[in-house]
Amino acid sequence: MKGWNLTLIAPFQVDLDASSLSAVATSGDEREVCSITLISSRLGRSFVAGDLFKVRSGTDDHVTIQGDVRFLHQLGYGWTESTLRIEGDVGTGLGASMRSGCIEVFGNTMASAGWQMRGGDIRISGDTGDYLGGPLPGRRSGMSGGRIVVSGNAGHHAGHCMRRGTIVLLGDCGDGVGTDMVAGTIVAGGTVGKFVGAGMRRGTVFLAKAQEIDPVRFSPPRDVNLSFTRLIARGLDLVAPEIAAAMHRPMCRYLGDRSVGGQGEILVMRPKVAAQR
Amino acid sequence: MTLAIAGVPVEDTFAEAFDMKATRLVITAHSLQWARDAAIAMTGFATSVIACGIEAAIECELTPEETPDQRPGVAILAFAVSGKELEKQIPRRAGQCVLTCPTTALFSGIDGEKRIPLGKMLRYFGDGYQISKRIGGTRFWRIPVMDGEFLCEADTARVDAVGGGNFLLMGRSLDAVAKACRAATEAISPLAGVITPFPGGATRSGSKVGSKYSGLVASTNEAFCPTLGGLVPQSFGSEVAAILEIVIDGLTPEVIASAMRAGIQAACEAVGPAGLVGVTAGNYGGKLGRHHFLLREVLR
Repeated sequence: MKGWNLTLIAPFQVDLDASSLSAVATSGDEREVCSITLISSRLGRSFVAGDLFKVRSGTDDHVTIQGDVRFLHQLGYGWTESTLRIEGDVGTGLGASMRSGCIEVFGNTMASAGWQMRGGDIRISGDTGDYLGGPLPGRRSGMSGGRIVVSGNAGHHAGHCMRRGTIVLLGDCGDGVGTDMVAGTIVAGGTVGKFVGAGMRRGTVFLAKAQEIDPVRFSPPRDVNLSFTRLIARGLDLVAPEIAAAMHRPMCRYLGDRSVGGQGEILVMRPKVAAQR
Repeated sequence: MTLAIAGVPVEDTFAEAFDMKATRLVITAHSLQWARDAAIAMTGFATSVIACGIEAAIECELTPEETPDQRPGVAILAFAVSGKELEKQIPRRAGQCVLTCPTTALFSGIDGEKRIPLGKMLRYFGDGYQISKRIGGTRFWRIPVMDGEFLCEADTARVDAVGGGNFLLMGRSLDAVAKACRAATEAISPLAGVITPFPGGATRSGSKVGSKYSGLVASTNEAFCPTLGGLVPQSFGSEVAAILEIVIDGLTPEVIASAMRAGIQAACEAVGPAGLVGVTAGNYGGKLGRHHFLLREVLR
């Protein structure tokens, strides 16, 4: 597998469907990469990658895209095996239907990153928009595997309709975290908005910061000390050591959403108690 | 008798061992005591495949740093003659001996492609309240129980292994052979990848294949019963008062050979020629098992 560096030649304003750019990972020569077509449904015309990017072969097997590519939507669609590295902001639907491999974003992403993702890793160093890991339009379930780690803040409805996989949000996030969740795990390290877990049927939402949980939708809190949290903590040791440490302590557990007969759980972590003298 | 260890003659013969299927399980708990209790229950009545279905024993104790959920634990090895038998015995024992034991969790301790169900079967005990969790590519089941949750890996691997490595200690007295036997099992117990499934690691009821009674697959091996001296042909004299056999199951032939070497040396050094008349090994003429552990090669 050959690596490629795509550097944006000049700022571009027209929204493009970049799902076809995933073919870069399997492209053998520069001409092939330059000829990949990106469609603008608004303008009803297409562009080729060579018009937008300076294409060079890379030193490793990564595909690197440099520049502000907020006009590129569905970048990394169906991504498999290799690493896609984006140095700049990116548009909506990043990593939609991704299967394996890794997408690293050194910047922010717009809405719907990890749409119906099936596997692999997405790491976003900045902020992300609404519906992180949500379902593709017209589909009932969201991400069904893999892991998304967002170091910045997230918009509303992160993990909406999530079916499997893990979302780790290190910053704050908006309303509706884990709404209509079917299964999977969401770890929220910062503050969260309203309607946490509304409509969730199964799955786990970890909250690092105390939050008022809807007493109608969820059971009264119970103190629990569950073994599986220590397994999840092992995967967070590197990305969020403080959260990982909190997962070794007992937590407060709410079960619900009872309004839909759900058996999901919200686990609120406890702050570390300072040693008393 | 050409070879001697610490003055104890070692017969030039071989131990005959068989292909088996094996798995390793890790049981963790709130304290090592609970983990050990579950492991002892699970490996109880698992001395011989002849009637127990599997041969199983505790392989080692694990520190919190060595276990998946960072609690103290115990690793057990289980061996069966077929993958099907292992698949029958393991979930049954896990359900009755580990699920029932307070504070425990159960994990796979070995990698491999062929799988044996654990939580995949036990989850039904949750009666719909069980929760599946995929963590780092591994599926776990969380089953609600009265002390919280029983966390159990969905399945474990089964691998090809070897069972029936053995050696026999022929003692001048019961005291001497018992002491030698203890020394042998203590020398074997720190080794990874092997177990000695019989009580205390040794057996007194060495068997032969078949019986005069129809329906019995194994019966006492009169050729090694000192009390039958003079009645049946035996390869030892009247100076032998008691014989004990150490049976060893291992994940590879190499670890069985290492265990036999460590055990024989420890036994011989513990009591010397004053306690042991000799060391030999059990075989069926080389016709049943494809693994032949020649004592002179093992001790080389």
